[in-house]
Amino acid sequence: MKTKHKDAIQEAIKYGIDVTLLYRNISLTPTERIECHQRMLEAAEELKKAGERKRAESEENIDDIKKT
Amino acid sequence: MLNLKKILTTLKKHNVRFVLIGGQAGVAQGSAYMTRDVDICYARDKENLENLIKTLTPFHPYLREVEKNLQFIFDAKTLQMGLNFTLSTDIGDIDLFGELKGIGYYDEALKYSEIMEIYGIQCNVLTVEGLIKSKRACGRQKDEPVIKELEAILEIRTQRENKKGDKYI
Repeated sequence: MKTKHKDAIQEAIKYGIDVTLLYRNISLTPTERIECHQRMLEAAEELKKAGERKRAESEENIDDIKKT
Repeated sequence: MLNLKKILTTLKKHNVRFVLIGGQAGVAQGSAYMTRDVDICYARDKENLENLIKTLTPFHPYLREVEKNLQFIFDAKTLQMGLNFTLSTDIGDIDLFGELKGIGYYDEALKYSEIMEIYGIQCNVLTVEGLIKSKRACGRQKDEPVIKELEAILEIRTQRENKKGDKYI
């Protein structure tokens, strides 16, 4: 039984899953897990907005170059 | 932006009977996958449908991926006529499941749930085993890594429980 379970972790690693994150998450309370996830969502949202701003700036620069 | 605290608080305030399922249940169980919506499996009796409507109506629920100018009346009749609804609301995207693939209706989902305290609220959350069963039943390729992760979570928990047990040997 133990071998089968050990396989589950190895299988996850093979799939590219960072199991260190799972060990970390499991050590937290459910609320802490949700809060950590919420912070990641907020960070992802900020990065998305930053990317959008950068693309908009680049397009403006291209337009300016075309005008000159 | 998703506000899970607000969603859970208001669902509880209106005594909605539901089980937290999907990605957020996975997160509560220790998953590292990110998810932007909240999925719940809800009881379909009249009282619960009315409570669900009271809960979500102030947050302007609307069907996602449907043109904004189409009329959508969020009432008991609409909920009775459908089963699963993908809603966009002021406090985030909420998917309502009358039936969960591989599990069944609310009463079955409840059997596959455990009570967890989230933001001080006692919530029924689908177990890791329930999540795996449901994902397997969906048979989607994109769920394969998620299933692998959930299986690893089960193993890590077993390891931790065994370690705790060792202390007393």
